[in-house]
Amino acid sequence: MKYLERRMVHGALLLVSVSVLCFLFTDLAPGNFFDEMKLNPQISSDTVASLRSQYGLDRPLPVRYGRWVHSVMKGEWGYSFAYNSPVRGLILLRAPNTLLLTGCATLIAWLIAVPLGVWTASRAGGWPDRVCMSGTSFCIAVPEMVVVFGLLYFSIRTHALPAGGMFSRGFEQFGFAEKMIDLAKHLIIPVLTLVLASLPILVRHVRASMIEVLNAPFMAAARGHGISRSRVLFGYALPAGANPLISLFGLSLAGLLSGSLLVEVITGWPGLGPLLLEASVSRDLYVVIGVVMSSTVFMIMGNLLADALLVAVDPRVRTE
Amino acid sequence: MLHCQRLTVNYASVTKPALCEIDFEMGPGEVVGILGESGCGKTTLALSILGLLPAAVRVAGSILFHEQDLLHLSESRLRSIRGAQISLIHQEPGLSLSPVTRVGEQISEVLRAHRSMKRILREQECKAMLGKVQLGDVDRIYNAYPHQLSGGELHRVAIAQALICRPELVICDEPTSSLDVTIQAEILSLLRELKAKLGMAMIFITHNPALLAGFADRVLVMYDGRVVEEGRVAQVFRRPLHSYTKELLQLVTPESGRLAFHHEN
Amino acid sequence: MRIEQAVKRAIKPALVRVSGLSKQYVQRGAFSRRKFVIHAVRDVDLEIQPQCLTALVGESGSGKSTLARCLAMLERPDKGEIWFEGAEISRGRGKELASLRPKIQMVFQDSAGALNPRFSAAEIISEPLEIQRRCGGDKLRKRACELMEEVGLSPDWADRRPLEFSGGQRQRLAIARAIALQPAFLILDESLSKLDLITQAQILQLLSDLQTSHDLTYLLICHDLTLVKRVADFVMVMQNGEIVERGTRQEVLNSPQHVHTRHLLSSVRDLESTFGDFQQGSGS
Repeated sequence: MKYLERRMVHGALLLVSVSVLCFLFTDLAPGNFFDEMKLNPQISSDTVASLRSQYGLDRPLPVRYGRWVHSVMKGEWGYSFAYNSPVRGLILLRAPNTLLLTGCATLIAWLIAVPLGVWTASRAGGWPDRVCMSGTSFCIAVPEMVVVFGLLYFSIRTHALPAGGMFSRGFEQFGFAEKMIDLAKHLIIPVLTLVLASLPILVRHVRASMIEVLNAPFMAAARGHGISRSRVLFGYALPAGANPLISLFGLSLAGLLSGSLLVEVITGWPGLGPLLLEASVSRDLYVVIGVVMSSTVFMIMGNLLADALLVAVDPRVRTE
Repeated sequence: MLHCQRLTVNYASVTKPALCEIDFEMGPGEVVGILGESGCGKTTLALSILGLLPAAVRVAGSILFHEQDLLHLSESRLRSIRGAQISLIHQEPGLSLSPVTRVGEQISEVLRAHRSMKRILREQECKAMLGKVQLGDVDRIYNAYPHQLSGGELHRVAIAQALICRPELVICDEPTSSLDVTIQAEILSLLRELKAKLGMAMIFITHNPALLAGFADRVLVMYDGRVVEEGRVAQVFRRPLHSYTKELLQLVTPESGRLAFHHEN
Repeated sequence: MRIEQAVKRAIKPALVRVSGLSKQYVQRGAFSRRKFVIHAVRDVDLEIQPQCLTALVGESGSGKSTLARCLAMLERPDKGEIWFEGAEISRGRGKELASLRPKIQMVFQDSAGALNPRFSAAEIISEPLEIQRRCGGDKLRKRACELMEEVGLSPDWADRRPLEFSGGQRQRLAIARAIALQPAFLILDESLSKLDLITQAQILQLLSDLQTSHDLTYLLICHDLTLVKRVADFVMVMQNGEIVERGTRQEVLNSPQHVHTRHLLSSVRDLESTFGDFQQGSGS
């Protein structure tokens, strides 16, 4: 219990530090939400000033921070100027969309990466391995943007897939099955982009971890007892090589809310990405801070889960 | 039962053969000792019999096991022989077990690969075997991980794993080299007992002649990839012909000369 | 001759003196509050005579390696004192100990693990010389080659990696590294255990030669009593962290007092007697 307790305390401290840093950074950025209004000749500067004080933007930093914390405790998570509503509602509206996207992408990436990594490791040096290595190098080198634009171009040309967005027109009238199919069609391009971005690194890690394990004496010993090759690979090698993969998995989880920003913006997926971008550009402070904090929470939970899994899976870590 | 004819093994990058024209025969239930220092090819011989040599080797000659040439069998046939008819006890049993799986499971796996039995029956069989290798608390050991067991216990587990399918031939590769003196004696007597009870043939690889006395029937002395002397143990030990054998036996004789370590300035 | 030896020993002070040494390790469970305390070394007193080979015998887990590591200043004991050449070494600070460290060196059991696989043989041997600033530049390599020759390795192999050597050769390399700083006290922690008989004999011969040329004192930690019989001057038997018997070779091996010593000797005796019978032709 001591271990988990310590980790949770660390997590809490981390959250507090991140929130403070967030405030500091947004404060450093020049301007505020109402600067746009100043450009409008019809609105007097007095109005702008009074609006500012109304929203508390002229108060010193610690006061604003205190008010924000109070708002978080109340359950509002701050207030959005642009949308004129608590931040919580906005995030809860958009977050599930992001999670759907990244969740699918992560799942598919891992489901492909593990068998592929194990297979290429067992045939290290052979042609499947070399093809895989150059393929992954290529995918890592190509930027996400290029991939997503390429896919969008392809879809526009061929009309095979919807070019962005999450729903087709008239979504509400669809039956359940049609809704699912529509959603799936819209998911293909963004998910494919994300998978192509994360898959190569995962495959390489799995492969590297497997190669290390495959040379261990107990692998040869298992073969010497007449156990079949596939069983040796998946029943002996994979569990033994799982440690680094579990940490990676934790990182994957940690990045669930934050990994898809670019893709969402380009494909018009209504997730946290466009929200964050919009808010950053218009200096909608508390929305920015709210989204960043949500990502941080996920990151901390992801890491905690990875640590807990590590202890649960590897008996050697336990008796330390 | 086992007949090795003119076996020659060459590792890919090395010109000198690891094994050169090895010739020997074994009958069922016989204990043959292979004596030699590190690098003489003892382990290579053990690996060749089981077909566990790495891919980049050139092999010539034949190893006949019940009239089948082990060097030319298909992988699946070899797999059915390994562990079930011929099995190997490794030099470092701690390393031959996977560190993340329970020890009982690993023994059970070997059984699973060769016999179709229900899980519960397999478990019982494994626990029975653990008892036969003189392990006290069988339940605890069955559920333990390798790092929770002592050196002696791990050795016994490895022996149990090798014998679980009642093979005809067991190859023991330096079974006592990583053990304390007291446990060494225990493991040796355990092996002797098991041989007497189960009647399997044994190839006992070691660099210490003292371990073969009173246990092995015949001995092969290897040096530099060749068999330099062969014969019944009593004969070879009492009247060694080759100079290397003589040198080796000299080192183990209790009255062999003391090295002068204390000296006066 | 014997009386002279005894008198000489009585006059020469012990090289190493240990009193009341204790060290324990604490293991914690990850998710539980349970602690396991392992008393590796319990209240040990001993003396090591200069220019002799003292053997420390015991089973695995008896605390031999922990004791050795404390003597080699690789670990700090929890209680007790260690006196080396008249200076107390277990409690000193870094700078005070720095001058003494070169005098106590250790050779480990696993030569492959003890040598950096990325360094060449010459680099491994010259590393301590470099760190202690005994010499520099070209002289380093020259000294390394000299040491290699001294331990029986050809200087042509100076650029080979440790894994390209055989087990026996690697131990020679480890010994060369250990004597580079011209120590007075060399601790051999099961260094011969993984070697086959003939290599063992060769390394022992090397150690004997080195003792003459370098005036070394050895502490050999070993579980092989046959080996101990052949080389030790003094023997100490350890069980469960305590030294249960000590004395000269004759005293301990021919007339053991403690139960544990007798137990260890009997395991070896059975083997030896079977073999002896064999050789004489009275066995079958």
